[in-house]
Amino acid sequence: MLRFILRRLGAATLLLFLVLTATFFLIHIAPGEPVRLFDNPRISNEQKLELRELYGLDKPLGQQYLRWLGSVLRGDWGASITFERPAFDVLMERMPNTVLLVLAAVLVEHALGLALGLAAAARAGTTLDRWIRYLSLLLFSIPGFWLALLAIELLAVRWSWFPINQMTSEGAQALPPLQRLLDLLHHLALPALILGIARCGAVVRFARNGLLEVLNQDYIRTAHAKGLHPARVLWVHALPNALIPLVQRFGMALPIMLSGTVVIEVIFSWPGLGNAVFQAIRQRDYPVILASTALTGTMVVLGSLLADLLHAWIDPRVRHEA
Amino acid sequence: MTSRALNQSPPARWLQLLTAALLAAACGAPESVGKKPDTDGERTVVVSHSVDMQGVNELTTQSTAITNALLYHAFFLQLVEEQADYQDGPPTFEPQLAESYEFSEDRLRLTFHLRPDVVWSDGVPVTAEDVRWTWQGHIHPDVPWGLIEAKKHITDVEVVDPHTAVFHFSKAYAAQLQDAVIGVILPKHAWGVIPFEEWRENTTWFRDHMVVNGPFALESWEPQQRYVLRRNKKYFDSKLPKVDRIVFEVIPEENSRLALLRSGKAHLVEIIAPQDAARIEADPDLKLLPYIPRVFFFLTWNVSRPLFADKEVRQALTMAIDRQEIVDSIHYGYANVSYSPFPSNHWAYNKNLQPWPYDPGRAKEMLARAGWTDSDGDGILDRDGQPFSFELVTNAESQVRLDALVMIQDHLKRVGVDVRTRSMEFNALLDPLNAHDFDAAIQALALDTSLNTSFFLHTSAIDDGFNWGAYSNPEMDRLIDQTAAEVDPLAAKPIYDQLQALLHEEAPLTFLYETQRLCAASKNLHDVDPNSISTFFNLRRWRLEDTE
Amino acid sequence: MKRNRLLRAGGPILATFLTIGLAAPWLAPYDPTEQLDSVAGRHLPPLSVMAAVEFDHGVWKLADRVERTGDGLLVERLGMETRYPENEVRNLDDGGVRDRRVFVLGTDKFSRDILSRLIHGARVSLMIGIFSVALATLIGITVGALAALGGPILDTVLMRVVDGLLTIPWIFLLIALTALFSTDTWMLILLLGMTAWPYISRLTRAELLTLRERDFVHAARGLGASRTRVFFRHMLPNALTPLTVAATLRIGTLILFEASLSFLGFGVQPPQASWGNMILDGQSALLDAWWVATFPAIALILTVISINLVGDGLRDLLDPRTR
Repeated sequence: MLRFILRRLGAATLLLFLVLTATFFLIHIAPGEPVRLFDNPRISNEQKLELRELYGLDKPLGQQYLRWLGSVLRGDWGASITFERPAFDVLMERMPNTVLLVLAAVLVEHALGLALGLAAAARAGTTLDRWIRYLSLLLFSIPGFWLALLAIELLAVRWSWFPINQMTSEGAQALPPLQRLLDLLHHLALPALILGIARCGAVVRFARNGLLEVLNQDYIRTAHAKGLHPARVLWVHALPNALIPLVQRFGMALPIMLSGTVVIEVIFSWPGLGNAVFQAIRQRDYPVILASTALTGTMVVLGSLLADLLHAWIDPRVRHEA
Repeated sequence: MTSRALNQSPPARWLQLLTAALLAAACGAPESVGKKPDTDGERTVVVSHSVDMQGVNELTTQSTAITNALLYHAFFLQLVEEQADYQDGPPTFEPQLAESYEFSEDRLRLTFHLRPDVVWSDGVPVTAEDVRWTWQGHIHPDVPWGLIEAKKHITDVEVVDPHTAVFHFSKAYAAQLQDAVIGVILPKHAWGVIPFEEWRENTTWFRDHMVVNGPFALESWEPQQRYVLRRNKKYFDSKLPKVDRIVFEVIPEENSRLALLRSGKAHLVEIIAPQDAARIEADPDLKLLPYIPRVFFFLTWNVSRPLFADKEVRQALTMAIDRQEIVDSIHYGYANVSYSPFPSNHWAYNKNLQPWPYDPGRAKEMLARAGWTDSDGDGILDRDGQPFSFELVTNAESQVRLDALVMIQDHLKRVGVDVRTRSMEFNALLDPLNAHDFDAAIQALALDTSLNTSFFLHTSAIDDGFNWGAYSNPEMDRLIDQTAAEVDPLAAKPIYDQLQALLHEEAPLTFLYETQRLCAASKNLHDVDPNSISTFFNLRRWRLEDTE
Repeated sequence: MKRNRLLRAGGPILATFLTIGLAAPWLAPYDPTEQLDSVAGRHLPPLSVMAAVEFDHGVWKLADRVERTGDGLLVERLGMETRYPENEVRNLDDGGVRDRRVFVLGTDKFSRDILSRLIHGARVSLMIGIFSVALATLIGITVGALAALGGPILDTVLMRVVDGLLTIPWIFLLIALTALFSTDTWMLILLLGMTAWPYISRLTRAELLTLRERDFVHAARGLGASRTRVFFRHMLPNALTPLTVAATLRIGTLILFEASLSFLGFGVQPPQASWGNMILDGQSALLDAWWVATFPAIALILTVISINLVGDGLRDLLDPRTR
């Protein structure tokens, strides 16, 4: 088991290194320079040279790369050009916000998806089943950003059920803990719901088809034949097995979710990673772009590793293979 | 808060009741939910704003509009403050840290007399030592400050006594006062702890050691969420500011930003889109505050390309663009067709010119005279077998410019000119612009009060500056140099007129229009006077009318 | 055959959109970039009918009402009446002017016809979806086949690369790439294709590995068929079924993906219409002109639904194992 983890981590590190190297050269070759070199018309060429020197942008690219690599190996990701802070700090500030949003959305996605999927499977062939499947298809096909726009316009602006944006209310920091938590949840609700709902269609199908397949297996028939209570058969024998493919999917959910959050974060002004990276790309904030590539890459690698381990823990067949 | 904020819909109230019930259960303390703690009786203005501020130290921070606005109009004092009263003559300067100033006979020395009663927020007096030390920071090569150019003719700042500072100049020129007072005065006793050489490595240190002498201090700052100003009780004018707190909510998304104002949860939005103006005007609780900024929108022709080398062709293209339609359509009328880089309400504006009219017929004739006719009948003009076809670029961030791009393409098609459009991110666009590797581009530039036009028109600005179209004309260079050297601005007025007339005639740029900025505010927020220097120019005089 | 309600429901919708996309230039009532009068014709609601008055040099004005007078034309536009002499108007006829415009789904801010843009947008969206999936399938099958049949070392290397690519949050990379290098539609297809192939190649590999152990493949080998022949004649055709289903479903995903990119301003560039940038255009006018963003959104959702229906239907039809 340990060897399996180490091998996976080794491969992941190598891959991450390659991705980072490619990103480094890509963003430096691309047209444009960090924004603050151009932020006012009175800045002279001489001054630009000085600023370039300051950020080490005057050296040949190979040399810049080696220097960057050296400092990264020492754990230094460089200072963000626009945020005036170490790039890594900027991202660490943002990461919890994105993780919070992603976790909440994954929760919504799976809670809603499982409930609907299992309901459909339990009543397979009925009208309910059919309508749930139509619904999942619809959810699967609606663009998330459109749902978000509609939700803001109706639920936040017109009816004021939810705050329009951001993570907290002004002055929330001074509130007692419980009230602060409620304030945060109130802000979190809409983006998490939108993100979760827009993605739960697939879970519905997974859950429904998985459960139906398992219910047809011999050992379930045997369990029924033994005279076990149907509920017990469903919850103890069928469900865990039906959920195995979902666990695997769970691991892959992270990168997909990270993609999904960019749009949602931009629309909801959520101060997360996606927003920061969006801005960093526009302003050519090289250190932030590189650090975020590394960070999201690591998160994703760890996420899929975790999913595999979880999978191995649930499904003994995988454990023996490994 | 306006009364509408309380006017919530049932579900919101329901949610609040639920929270209240939970809280009562949890803490046993019935408390009205939603009210901010400890702010009763305080007057808080909420601004719904698009971006975060960048930093608190002018010399090391990225200069964005809001950062500058706060540094100059909230946190720190300038020696004297330039006003936006340039309609009838050169702008005046209002005393701030300095009560008065005077030039020596030869204009090589400029003496400032500081107010004796100004203190930093930690109680330490503000003195001429701060002024001198700030100037040393301005010109220190390791800082390096973005506006260092402004100080290049200042040789020394002398401390005569704690309340008298003298600026020494190497020559006399028009913008001496502007150059001397640009840059806010920084706290030597607090920030001098770190030598200038190390400022770049410690950019965040300053926000943790913030000392101010302006009307407001920074109460709190949650990055990308909000920043809160609180009145500085030690501000020298005890009658100002007139509000206790100003909260800037950071909301990048345009619709949400406006929604906050319309739902009564904010008092001001700095800039709204023209299409929303009618809705603001129709709202009984809101008002529209338009003003003309010192920004001009133009289409620059790359005159180093043979296609645009001929001024008749450039004039013809200008006349083929229906600029009034663009103004009416994209800007909903909140803009004026222009022919000058100066704002139309500026004293140096040449009122005797007329913009090139929209006249596709005359444009076609002029193009035909230059040899451009549709000889093969494909609807596109050609000369020597070459079609009149070029690429028009602009930056993708600006929806207004993208819209203008789409309309100009359509207008030029009517006279048989084929335009290929392309949008690039501003940052990426600068590369071809600076390398003069483009056909034509839609851009905007801002003028500062020195009325310096050299940075986009002078021959020297082709290699070092914003003369993207590579326009070079000795006559233009001569006029620009004359305006820069003339010490008395009013005496330079005829030269400015000549310069604008020449620019109009030569048409190296097609001026599109000057826009009106539309600031929207709630009606109970008074004395807001957004102007071309900043929407937040007179932040200290903003007043919130009591409601209920 | 009963299960193929899915195909029967999705097929016609998809076929309709495909036809619309293919025949866009003939179906669209007007030129999708035609801006006759972006002041009087801006944000007209659905079913607006306007008279189109033509002046010299290709200048047009849209009018609520025109009336032929003795010496010319009376035009009511923006609530004002203007008289034009006979020689200024080019399309005069006895009743007024010869041209008029019927904006079935309304107009956008440039007075462009939404219906025409929607139809041309179908072309762009479907083209991007289909071509990028075709590209992804091509690469995916090649890589998957190499991994499955090219020996264990190649397999490990390729699959680790695929694993890696699968873990990249693509939208970041796409935003970066389209922001850094300005893009046209073909570039977009290339980029989107690149994001989708790892998934296809993983699927291909899994299918081929299963097929390799099946009796009929062993039999073919035993009969002395060459490796290429076994692959092309016996294995690939059998792997195509699940691949077709997967590829079909992917088209929907990529169309949505392109729409999100366009919505963020990084996809198809104006004045070309794509459903994504039409929604972006309409978003800022959601309160004034709901029709600008709503119709492309409906088209987008319908298309993706029909693609998913067809994908599911194909799966049921071709693959008897699933129910």
